[in-house]
Amino acid sequence: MKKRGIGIASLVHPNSVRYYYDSEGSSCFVKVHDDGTVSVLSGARDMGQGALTIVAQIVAEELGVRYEDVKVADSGGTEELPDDLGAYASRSTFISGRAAQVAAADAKQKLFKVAAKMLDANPEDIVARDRKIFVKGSPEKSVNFADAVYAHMYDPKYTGHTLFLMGQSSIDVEGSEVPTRETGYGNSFCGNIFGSHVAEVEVDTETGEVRIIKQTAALDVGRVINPMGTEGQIEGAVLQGYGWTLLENMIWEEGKTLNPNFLDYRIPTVFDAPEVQVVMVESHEPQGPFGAKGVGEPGMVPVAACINNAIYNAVGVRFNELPITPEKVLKALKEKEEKDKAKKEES
Amino acid sequence: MSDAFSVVGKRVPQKDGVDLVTGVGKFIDDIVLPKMLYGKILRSAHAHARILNIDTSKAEKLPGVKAVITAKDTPRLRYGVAQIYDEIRDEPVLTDDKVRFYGDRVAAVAAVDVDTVEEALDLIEVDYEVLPAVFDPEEAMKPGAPKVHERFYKGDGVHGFKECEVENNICITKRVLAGDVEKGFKESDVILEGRYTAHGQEHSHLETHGAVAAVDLMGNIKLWTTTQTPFTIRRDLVKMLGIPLGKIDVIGTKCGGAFGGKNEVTVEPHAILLAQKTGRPVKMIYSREEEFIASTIRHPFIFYSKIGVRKDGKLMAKQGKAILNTGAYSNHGVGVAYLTGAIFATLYRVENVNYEGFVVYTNCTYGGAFRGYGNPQMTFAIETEMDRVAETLNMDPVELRLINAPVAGEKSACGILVGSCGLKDCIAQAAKTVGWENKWKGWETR
Repeated sequence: MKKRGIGIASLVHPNSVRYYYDSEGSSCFVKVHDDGTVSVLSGARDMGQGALTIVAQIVAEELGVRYEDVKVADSGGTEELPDDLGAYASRSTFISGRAAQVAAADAKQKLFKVAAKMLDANPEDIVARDRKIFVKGSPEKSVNFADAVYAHMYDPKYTGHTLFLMGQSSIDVEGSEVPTRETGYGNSFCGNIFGSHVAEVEVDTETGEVRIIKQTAALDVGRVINPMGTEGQIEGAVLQGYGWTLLENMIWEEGKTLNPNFLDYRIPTVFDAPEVQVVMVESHEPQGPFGAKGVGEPGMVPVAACINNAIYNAVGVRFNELPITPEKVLKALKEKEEKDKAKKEES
Repeated sequence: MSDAFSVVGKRVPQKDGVDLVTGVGKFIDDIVLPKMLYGKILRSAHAHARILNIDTSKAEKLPGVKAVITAKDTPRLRYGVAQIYDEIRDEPVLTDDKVRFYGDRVAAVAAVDVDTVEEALDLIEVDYEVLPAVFDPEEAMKPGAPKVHERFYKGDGVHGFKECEVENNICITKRVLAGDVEKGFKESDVILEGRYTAHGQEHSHLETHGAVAAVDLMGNIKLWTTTQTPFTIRRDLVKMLGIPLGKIDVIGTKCGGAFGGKNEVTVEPHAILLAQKTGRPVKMIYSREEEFIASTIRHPFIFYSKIGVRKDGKLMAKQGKAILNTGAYSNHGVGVAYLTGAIFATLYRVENVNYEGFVVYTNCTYGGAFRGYGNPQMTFAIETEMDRVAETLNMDPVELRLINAPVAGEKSACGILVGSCGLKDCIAQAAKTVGWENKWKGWETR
């Protein structure tokens, strides 16, 4: 018989932790070309998660150019790239992204001195958006972004200078601290992300197989920079959590791994993928770029507990050991049946 | 609100999407340099054994072999990943005294092609004295258990490094303590206890680990590697090889997935040592089997939980003991043990917390950073226990979580500032989206 059940589990996870180093640093260089396009050297590392895409979006938004106007260096070494601790601890969007925003703002602030003269306005009163720089509230009074850049570089009549246009940043997270060694007290999380998942599962009581019908993941993601990236991270994390909970089973005998390949160690494939509904609860993280948080890890965190609770709701057995294999489910169901029977006979 | 932005919040295509789907993007294995050699590592044939002798003479004579290195060709430094006060240095580049797990590194070879390298590995003769091994961390903590490490080097962040004896295979114990748990349990109406075990997990990134090293005539090193953390790798290489930082340029290549597994150094120091010895570039790429056997995994956990609650659902005290099977080396164990405790104290509002995280050596494949960093293992235990609490109180599990959810602006028991927090919204929206009220069957049906 197939029985369905539902379970909930919540999570909190940091956006970077001040622990291994007393730093949460990142840095960035932004170079604006005379045609108004932009090159970025970022310490962010892209390992498929889309960090460079996020950096490009943040720089484009801050400078007021289009996404396609921004290139982010996809190679380069520690010699020439600005320093960054790396892409871990869900920190790339949150910290490397913030460094990109600050570097872009640095270039913009320089550019606005020239643009303000061109518009005959105060630098504080102007904004840049979609390749135009204009007086706040009067978009008709505008100058092309590229024209302002060209003037900054080659036309001394506005400020008396002709300067190439660059921006740079070097940032750390304010207010975070290394915890004490004795009690672990201290605000080590540079940011945090909360969330709650609900799993709907189907348990086959004859085979012991557990199938996820649907996983709903509601996460407090701050400001979403790229919804496709956010969905991708959370859906991928749910799948990796599902694999860890139900399929992946590293078999060790006297310390030797007996199944070191993907035939015998089963990771989930597209055929195993459950429906994942991502609910983005937007909030504002004051230290993140435009209020954004990092979402690399948190989607993975509550998956095992969530499935475990849903199995209990479906068939009344609970597990305290991972992975939850069909063999363990069948064994637990049998034990429950015997216990129920004994209880019935007693009464 | 998103309308205030013209680029942020938009579904723009990935910057390198076209490169990736057309196969133009250069991954580590796409890097080919003139006169490049290929390298591989000889791994331990035992879980725990003393190395009596290594004879590399036959391998060195094999045509096509350009270099064979063992511990004597390394500076024999130990390294660890932490940078401040809890830094433990226990991991060698090539092991000199004994092997501590099946994937441990005994020697490395560079040759003109991969076949020759593999043939040469077979020709290296290692005499082992097999030692008693320990695989279960709770067994390893008992007095008299086989010792995985006799001693290691520990930094206090101020006075440099001190050589320390390792007692009962405990690498470190991290604590997160707040309030008074005994008082909290006394004020509780219900106290539940549980023991949970969570297993290891391989990162399974599609691209395996790999690096290419090249050394110029001035001794400058260029290292291409598939990493999440080029700057950290550079610092780690300084610790491992004693090379000045300014001599190493670490270039991160396009990275085919990482999930935490590419925070760590794998073949980088060996590729550098072989390139230095031969004067030619050396490429080293892990096989899938090496990923499973020799790269880090999610730490297997044993977690003891004790929770006290009042009848109205309010959490009064939380006690947790995490036993991390860190395997042969400490690696990220220290950070995982701390973070697990900080999260344990922060997920829900509770004043009284007593958490201990033991990082325990065994002769297993070693643990490292992996998406979640200890949190999935602990949350498996604690969120299952929260459901047991709800059942005991005959309370809807959604309601129990709402009662204890922190709100923005408060500090958790261990001092974590709950900055922007939408937990209550997340719980409510998740439940509403799935139609929890209609689908949840209640506890009676059990």
